[in-house]
Amino acid sequence: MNILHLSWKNILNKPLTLVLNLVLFSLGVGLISLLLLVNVQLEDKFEKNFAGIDLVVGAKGSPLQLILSSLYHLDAPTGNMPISESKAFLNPKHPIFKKVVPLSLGDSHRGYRIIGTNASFVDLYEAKLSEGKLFEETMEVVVGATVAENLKIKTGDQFQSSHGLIEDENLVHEDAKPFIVSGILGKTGSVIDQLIVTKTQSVWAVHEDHDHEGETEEEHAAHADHDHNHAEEEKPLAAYEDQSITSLLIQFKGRNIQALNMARNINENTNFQAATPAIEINRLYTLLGVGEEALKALAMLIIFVSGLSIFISLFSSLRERKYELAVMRTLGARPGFLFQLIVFEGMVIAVLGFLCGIALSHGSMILLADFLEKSYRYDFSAAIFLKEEIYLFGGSLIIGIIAAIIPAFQASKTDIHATLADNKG
Amino acid sequence: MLKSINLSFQYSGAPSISFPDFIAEQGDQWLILGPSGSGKTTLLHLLGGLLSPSTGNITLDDLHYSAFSPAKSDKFRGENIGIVFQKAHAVQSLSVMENLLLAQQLGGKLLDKKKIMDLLERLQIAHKANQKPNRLSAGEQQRVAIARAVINQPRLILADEPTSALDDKNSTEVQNLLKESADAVKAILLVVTHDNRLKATFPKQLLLK
Repeated sequence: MNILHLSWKNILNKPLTLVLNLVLFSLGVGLISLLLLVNVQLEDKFEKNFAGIDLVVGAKGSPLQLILSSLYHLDAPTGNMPISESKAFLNPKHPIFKKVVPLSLGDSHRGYRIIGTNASFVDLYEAKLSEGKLFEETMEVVVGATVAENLKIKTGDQFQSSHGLIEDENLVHEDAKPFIVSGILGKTGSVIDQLIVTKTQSVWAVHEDHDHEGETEEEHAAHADHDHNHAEEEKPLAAYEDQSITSLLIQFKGRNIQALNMARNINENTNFQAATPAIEINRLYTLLGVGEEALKALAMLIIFVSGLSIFISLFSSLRERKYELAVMRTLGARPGFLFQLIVFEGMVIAVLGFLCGIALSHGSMILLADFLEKSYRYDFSAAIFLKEEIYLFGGSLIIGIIAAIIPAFQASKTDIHATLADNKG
Repeated sequence: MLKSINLSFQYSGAPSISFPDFIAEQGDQWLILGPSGSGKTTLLHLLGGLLSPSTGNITLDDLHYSAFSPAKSDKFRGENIGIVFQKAHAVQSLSVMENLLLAQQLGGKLLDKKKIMDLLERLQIAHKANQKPNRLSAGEQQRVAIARAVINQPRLILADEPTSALDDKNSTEVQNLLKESADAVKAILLVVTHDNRLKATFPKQLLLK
């Protein structure tokens, strides 16, 4: 029968008040914790997916859209870049570019995006093969870890891609050649887990076979005959003058003036646009930040109200309990005992509220992760616990104590004589 | 032995109240009578160490406890004095048993459930041990109050109008239980009342004016 036990019993004695306090407190804590969880994981994803890219070049349009579609595979791709106009970028001896990765976007398989590129794309994300081999022939693909897991894809499987980025049976390239899975990538935690990667030529091949137009005899033969493929693959991308790609991911050799001026040069002097991932993502953070600040302010308000609610319920309970508090004093309880009793009541409510809030945020994270995975192909985890949540626990305790301190002081000041003499019949 | 010598108390802005000297031997049972406003409750609270007297001193077995510091006074009261009020005012969130365990703890005694059950048995409320106090009748609640006052075997038991809220039947029972319980632990029993039903059974009476 220690003080904590008595505090606990007192709280349980008023179940409706307890429920009200817990609902308010856990809403506030839950909202903050959820914001933290989403924020940390979002930043983590964005950072991992930077992949050391200094510049993204694509058709003119929204730079944010270009970054989101080419680097994060979230938004719809921008327009096409004809190879004939992009030759300067594809020059392997470019004085400023260390690495240029071409991307052809726009097709998907059961909601997972197919990226036409080359082997250097896989290196960007430091992805390792967990089985099979990298794509060599046209129509061979390697599949990201999450894709393989969710679609139960194995090496050697075949599938047909669909046009566009959503899962729609009507858009399947039915008469195109199927893709063949040559390998599965291991988990990296970056966006490549959610992607299907193949050669640029494979993406072209699907559309040519499908469209049956704009196809040269030579290429048709190449598609039909695998033996000829090798000869074709020797050709650099720049040689396909009548083809297009979507965008280029570029790493600089060094950060000199020329490199820094590159983006402006491209934007001013070519038909393409260049976007810097860091700048665009910062812009995105600023946009999201407003919403996040608003939600945080709301959460703070809820926590303040819940603190007020704890204060009011403790304070009004003192009026009901003044005789039993006075009687406890006659039984030998010191004023400090009553003080601790009430402070513990505030703290216990706060701790319970915190636990409910954490359960709430991680529970809704499970639902949210499911939604994010379905709609954005991003996997979030509900099972990670952040050190900020420990601070949140400390903050909760402090709020519980502050809410209880005035009632506790009041209780410790109980005037035994006045209270008990007052109650005489 | 309880001695009250030259005792007076003054509420701020009111005339001082003086109390007659008296000496109670161990095992004595006294009734303190007086009209409303004669200071019966004040005297009881002085004797219980809930108030400090303006003049005079109170000693229990030669311990001058009316001069103790608040902390010492609280401890002394918890260990040596049991008080029964007009209403029980038990802790509502605790069962009868838990209320008595709390009394043992606050009195600095070992927690002893068997002792509590024996006492509740004697007071005929053992079957209510696990009930919350507000589920009990007025008479039963007053038995809980008696149990709480005597559980720590105090040397002095004070009762403030213990029967005035009860009907005749319960009044007699509570009165008898109070006397028996005081006898059982050989405590001095002082009952403050204006309830005339008690007069006949207390040979020793102190009249306040």
